Amino acid sequence: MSMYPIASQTVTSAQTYIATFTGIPQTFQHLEARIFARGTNSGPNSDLIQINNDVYASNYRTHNLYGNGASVASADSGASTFWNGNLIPGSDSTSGIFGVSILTILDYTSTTKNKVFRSIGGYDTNGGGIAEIRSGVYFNSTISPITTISFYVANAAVGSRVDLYGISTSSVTGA
Amino acid sequence: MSVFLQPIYTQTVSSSSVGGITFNNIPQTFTDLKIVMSIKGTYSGDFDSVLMRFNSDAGNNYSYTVLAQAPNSYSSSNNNVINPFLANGATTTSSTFTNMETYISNYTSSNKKSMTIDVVGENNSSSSYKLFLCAALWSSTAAITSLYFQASNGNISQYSTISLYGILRSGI
Repeated sequence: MSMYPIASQTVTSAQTYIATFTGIPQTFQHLEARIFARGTNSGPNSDLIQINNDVYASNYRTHNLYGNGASVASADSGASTFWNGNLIPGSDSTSGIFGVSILTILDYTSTTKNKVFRSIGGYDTNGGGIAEIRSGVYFNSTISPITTISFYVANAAVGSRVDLYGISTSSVTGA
Repeated sequence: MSVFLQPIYTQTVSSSSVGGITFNNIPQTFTDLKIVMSIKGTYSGDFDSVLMRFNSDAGNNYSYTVLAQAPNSYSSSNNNVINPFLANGATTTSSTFTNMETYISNYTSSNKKSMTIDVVGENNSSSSYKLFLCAALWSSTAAITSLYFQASNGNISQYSTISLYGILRSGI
């Protein structure tokens, strides 16, 4: 098997984050997060992701390609203090509707590669919604392994959850 | 032990660069294949395309449809390669590699081979970045036994990695 559950956190009372995972094992090749979330503010809420508690401005950048049922567009976040994860529904969406996304970070222990995420997700509100692919790069001047990852929302609704998995690879090359 | 997602092969470029990456003798015991790729290239521009071929087939047997960012475009073409894959080039943010995944269903079947491809090419830029969602087809009834990847305008750089996984459905 190559996909291992590392940790899971569920919001039990409204708070400013969905999950913070510390002490991430350094024994896998890739990380995958499965995000099920809803915000308490009106409108689409942003899921903000930070690496190793790094809040230094301009160390993160995010891009997305999305459709909302009527049009397709892409956007650039500009340099930022966090990654923008997939949008999640807010308080003006029907209760009980959460956004879902699968976020993949390759080679998260590397000291030679900037960390790049790829995330596909969205939500549907029975009359509206969004589907999108997102990507982001984290480029601290010192390339470090990811040991902590945090998922923030202002605020996260009860029942929001992030599951973190480790993905291993084979040592056989097949060359 | 579950073999739902089983690592088959991994190759990491250990030298400064290589011209191509080949996986041979792919086991025929799984239901689907998943390929995870992290690639940087020696191309002198922003992004180089990376092609994929199966079983050394260089014929016009490949096609794909892509939803791509900037401009928000759709395209479909028949070609002798499947090449929506990318390698970060020399003019993108240093130490940044593309992040890509391919899922090939029923790779041993006698049907033509359909697959999905997700590609993100990151760059600290407002105008030069890549996001692709693709559906692709290899119009062959042969089982996939080998894979080949090659950058179109340069080599594949050191630390680039391609991993191959086998997916086993229930009941096997």
